[in-house]
Amino acid sequence: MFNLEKPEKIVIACLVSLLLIGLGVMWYKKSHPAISVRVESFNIDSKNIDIADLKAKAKININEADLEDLMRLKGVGKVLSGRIIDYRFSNGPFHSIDEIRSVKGVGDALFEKIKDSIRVE
Amino acid sequence: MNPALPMDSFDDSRKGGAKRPILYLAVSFSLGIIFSFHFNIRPFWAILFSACFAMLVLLLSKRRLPSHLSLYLAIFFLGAASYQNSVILPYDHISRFATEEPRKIFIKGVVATDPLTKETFYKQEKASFTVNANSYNEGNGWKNIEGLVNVDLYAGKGKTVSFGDELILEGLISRPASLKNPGLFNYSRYLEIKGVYAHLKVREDMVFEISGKGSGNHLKLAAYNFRHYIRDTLDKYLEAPYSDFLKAILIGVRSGFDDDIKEDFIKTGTVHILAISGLHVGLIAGAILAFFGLLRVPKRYNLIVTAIFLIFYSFVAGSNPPIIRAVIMFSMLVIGYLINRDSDLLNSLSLAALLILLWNPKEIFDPSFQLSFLSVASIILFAPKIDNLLMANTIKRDSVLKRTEAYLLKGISVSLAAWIGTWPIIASYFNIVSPIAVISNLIVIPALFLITVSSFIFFPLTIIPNVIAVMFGKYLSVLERTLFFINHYLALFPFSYFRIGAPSIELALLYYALIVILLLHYPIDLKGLKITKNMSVIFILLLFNMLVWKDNLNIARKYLKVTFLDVGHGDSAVIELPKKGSILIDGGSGGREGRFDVGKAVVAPYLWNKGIFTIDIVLVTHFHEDHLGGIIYILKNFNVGCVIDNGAIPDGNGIYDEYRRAIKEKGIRHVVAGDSDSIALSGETKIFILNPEKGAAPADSNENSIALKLADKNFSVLFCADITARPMERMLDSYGEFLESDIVKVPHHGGRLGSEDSAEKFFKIVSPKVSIISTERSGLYNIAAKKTFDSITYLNSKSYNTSDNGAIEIISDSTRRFNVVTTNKN
Repeated sequence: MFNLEKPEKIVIACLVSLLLIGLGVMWYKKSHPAISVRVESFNIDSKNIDIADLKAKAKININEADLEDLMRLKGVGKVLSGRIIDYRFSNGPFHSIDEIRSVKGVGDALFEKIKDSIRVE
Repeated sequence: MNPALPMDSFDDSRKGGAKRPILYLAVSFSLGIIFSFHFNIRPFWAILFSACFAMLVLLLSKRRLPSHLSLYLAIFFLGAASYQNSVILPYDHISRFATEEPRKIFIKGVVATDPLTKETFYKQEKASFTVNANSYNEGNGWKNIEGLVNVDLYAGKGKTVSFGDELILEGLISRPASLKNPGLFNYSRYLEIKGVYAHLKVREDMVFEISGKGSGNHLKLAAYNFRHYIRDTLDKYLEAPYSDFLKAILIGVRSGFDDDIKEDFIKTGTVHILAISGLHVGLIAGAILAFFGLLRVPKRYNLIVTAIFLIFYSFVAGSNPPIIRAVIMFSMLVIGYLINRDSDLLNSLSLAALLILLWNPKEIFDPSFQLSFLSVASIILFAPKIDNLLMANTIKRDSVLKRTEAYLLKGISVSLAAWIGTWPIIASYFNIVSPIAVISNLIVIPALFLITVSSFIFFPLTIIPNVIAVMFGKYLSVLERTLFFINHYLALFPFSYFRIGAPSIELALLYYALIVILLLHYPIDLKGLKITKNMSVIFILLLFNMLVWKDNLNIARKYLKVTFLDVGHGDSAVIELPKKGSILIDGGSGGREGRFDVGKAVVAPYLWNKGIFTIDIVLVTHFHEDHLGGIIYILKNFNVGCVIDNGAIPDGNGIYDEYRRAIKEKGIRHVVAGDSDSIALSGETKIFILNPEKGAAPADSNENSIALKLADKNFSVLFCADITARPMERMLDSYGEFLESDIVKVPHHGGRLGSEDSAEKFFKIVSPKVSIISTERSGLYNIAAKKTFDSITYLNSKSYNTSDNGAIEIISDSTRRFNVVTTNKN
């Protein structure tokens, strides 16, 4: 099948042995663990949980919230949530949380109740 | 057929100027299908291109090369068009109803396959078959529909369903369920290849009626009756696994065959004998020819009768691509004989491929199609060459010994040829390479021959029940037992088989390029530049070296990757660390006799496929079956650096006992970990164990399962195992804001977490950007407690679950950003 001349023989022999060594290295690597496991101990200074920060994270973004999210607000039902979304739809996003008062049905009393649970982003 | 076709470049296996027009057509058509699959070409353009090139053929008919090229391109685009045609479904196709969410429906249709009945684990009788649906009803009248639907019928109640029955069924329709993991076998995709897009579950309390009988193809009906006769006879005279083995090799019924024996066949590279293929068809053809030959039936009629029986037999055995291929090739041989022309084997092989692909272009993606055609092609092309190398043809057959030697050498060259052509494909589907196949096939195939021929004597004996039939059945069992025994020991030979990762596309292409180079005529003249065979071989070897050494030297895998596998109900996650090393957290369910083992079916193949054979850390969060079960297979089949668990000692947990046994047998380091333990991994990555409390009573419970945080400078994942409200509260107390993580694996498969308040508080502190729920589709736990779900979505966190998304891979490079890749795209 082959007629090999001497230089060709040498080149092919070199390439094949290099390949075999490469495969050997690959096999060795794959059959030995790579990490030596050492167990140490660690300490965390557990700060008291910052309630203010927590609340901020839990606030609802009225520019992205959907019907269900909005209904989670105290005193906001399905109808009002729908109106907030409609408002967003026709007037664009809220610029501040105060702007929610322009939605029909959101009075001062309700705003006082929900202003700490909403945010604008 | 165009007589002036291609510049045939394959050399000495060509005889007497036989042309192979169909080979090139079949290859063009196949490439067209693959192209169309990858690039999703519009059917309109495919047809247009095909037509244009067909016209060019006529216009250029005087010039050889351009006209041939246009012909192949025309066929190529025809293949592309036919693939698109096969995937675009009509509007009233049943797939329209098959969504992930099951819904109730009434279906009318005809049974299109031979029903398979078995008893489920819960002792229910279940019949499985495919129905060709013709109408449906969702409560507002019957409407037309078309398409195949797989039915699991639990409402049989003593009524037997058979092929050709017209049925009215009430059931829950959905997409066929399948675990979806990258690189692994996907059952629902396999069914799509076969044209089945829907699954119907008919529960015990649902409507099931047989409205008519016998509207199926009569030949098929007869074939299935024959099949039942064989099956029942085997069940009567033989015991499992011997009856099951014969069912597999004679009538193609493979379910129920012993898993361990099957694994031995896989290891020795002889598993192909369990699926009926050209080998079996050839054996049967040979036996019939010999039988009628003895009766002195003229060869002409003998051949015709055999061909007709083979067509009948292809129905008995279930008409898979390998069987159809063999029957077509045999028929070509017969036709060639009848019209006094030598039929070229490669040409008939190509015709078989072309016919199957014209019928269903998607078959090209069926592994059994690929293996069948590839192995036969390489036998045709290579075996004569290897014969020459071994000088099998020069042996003078003047003594028994010499004759045996010649047969042995011929056998070696056939099995070596098949192995050379198929191992990359086998490696990518089964992650195994079996050099012993070259030898084991020399033993297993003659044994298969002996067993098949013996069973031809056995069945006529059983017509009248008698002692001889019983004795003969025993003899068959002994034969099989010997075969299993030898095969088992062949698998134990050193270097008989090894596991390898799926070869990359580059590697596979290089390999096949090398093969083609060895087959081509040389030297090739490229406008004065002469290329010799040796030059090409050196070039390919250089490329091989580059690939291997690139992988060896470039050890710095820069990213951290966490994969949450789709294991049904249960947990399993693989972590690939930056630079080096890998960790497995839990292994899904398994470890129980006769039940689905996730470790064997999902986790191990997934790791092998990625080329991972050594796991640095196997961490078991707790010892419940849905977390520990699959681990057993992993411990037995991988190099494991160390095992970490919570140190609990559960009572009466058989899987746990086996787990401890495996650790002991393999001498694996065993570490017990609890809160405030940390483990440094490669680079800056660390594991922080957050639960269970150290020194607490080591009861095995969800409460004591190991929760941990995997973190580096920029990225963190919180694995919550099955923790409940109490540990959550405790972790909040001791770790506070340290719990904050980018990703959270939601505790307990998204189920209820005890106190909803603590869960809500917990998730607020963790404030994950992405949350992962590891759960099963229609399982008990699917009702991920609404409150758990809410407390996560409330935080604008994106939620994924393994039942809808399949396996979920999260890749973090060294920046703060990470990518989420899901396996199920639709």
